[in-house]
Amino acid sequence: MIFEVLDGRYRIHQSILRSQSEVFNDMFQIPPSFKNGDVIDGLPIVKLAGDTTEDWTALLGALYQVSYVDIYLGSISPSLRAA
Amino acid sequence: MDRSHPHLEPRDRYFDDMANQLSKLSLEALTCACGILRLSTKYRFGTLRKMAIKALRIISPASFDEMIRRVTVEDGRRFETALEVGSVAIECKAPTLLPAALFQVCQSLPSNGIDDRLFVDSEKLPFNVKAWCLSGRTRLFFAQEKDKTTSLAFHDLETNLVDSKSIRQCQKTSKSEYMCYLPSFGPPKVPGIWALHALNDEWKDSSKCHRCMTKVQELYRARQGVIWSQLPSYFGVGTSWEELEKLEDEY
Repeated sequence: MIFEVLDGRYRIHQSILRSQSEVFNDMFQIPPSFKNGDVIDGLPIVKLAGDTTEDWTALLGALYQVSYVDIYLGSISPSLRAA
Repeated sequence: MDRSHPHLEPRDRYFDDMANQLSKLSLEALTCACGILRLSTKYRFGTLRKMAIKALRIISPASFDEMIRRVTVEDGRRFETALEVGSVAIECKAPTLLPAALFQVCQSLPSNGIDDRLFVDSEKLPFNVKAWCLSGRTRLFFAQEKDKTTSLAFHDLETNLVDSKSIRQCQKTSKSEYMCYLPSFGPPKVPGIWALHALNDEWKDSSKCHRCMTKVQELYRARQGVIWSQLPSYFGVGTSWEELEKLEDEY
C-alpha cells in the first residue's frame, strides 16, 4: 500500500506494518473502500494527517532495517521514499 | 532496502548507530529519534518505541552514572537539546526521559534569577515544563544546600575516625584519613548537585593524598546519587524512577 504524508509518498508492505503496529494491524482488518483517485498501480493510498516526512523516513528506516548511517550520513532517503 | 524478509524485527544496529551519533551530539540523530518516538507512540509500534526511548536516554539518562558521563561532554546546545527531549517525552508519554531533561534545563539556567529563555525563547514550550523546571530547581537548590551542610560536616567524620581503633593513616599527614582536608585546609569544596562533572576537575589537588581524595569523592558521589534517586519527586513528575518506568511500560 502507499502512504501519503504531506508531499511524500511511501510504498510499504502491509505485512510489516501489521506485524509491528497494533494500530495498523487493527486498521487492516477492516476492508478498505477507495475511490478511483486513491489508487496507484493498483495499490491504495492512505493519507496520514498530522505526520511529517522526516518522522516517517526515520521510522521506516528502522522498520526496514536500512542502515542509519546510510540514511543520515549518506543520502539514500530519496530512494527510500520512492521504494 | 531488504524486501525479501518483511517480517524481520527492527535490527539493533540501526539504533546502535543512532545512539553513537547521539553521543556525538548529532542534531539529525536527535530529530530522527524524536520522530521515531512520536510515530511509534501514535501508531503503537511497541518495539520501535522502546528502542527510541533507549536511544534518547543517551541525551537524558535515568542512571546517575550515565548522567555523570553525559555532563562531562561539552555541549553548547544542552539547554535546547534537553528542552526538545523533555517536550517529546511529555508528548509521547515517556516519563523516564523527563527528570534528566528537566535537570539539564535547570543546570543550564543561571544560578540566580529566572532565565528569559524559559519564557521568551521557548514560547512553544509546554507550561508544565516551565512549572516543573521552576519548582524542581527550587527544591533541588534546597536539597543541594542541605547536602552541602552534611558534606561539610567532615569534622564529625574525623572525630569519629579518631575515636576508632582501626583508623587508617593519611599518607600525607600521617594523621587520620581525611586529615588532608581538615582542619588546616578547611572543609572540602563541594560543587553541589548541579556540577556533577566538577569532581573530575576541581578536586584534583596535589596537596591532598590520593586516598583521602578518593574517600571524600566517594562520599560526595554517594550523596549526589541519593539526590539523583529522588529526582522525579523533586521535579514533581513522579514519586520514583520505578514509578516512571512502570507508567512508561503500561502505555
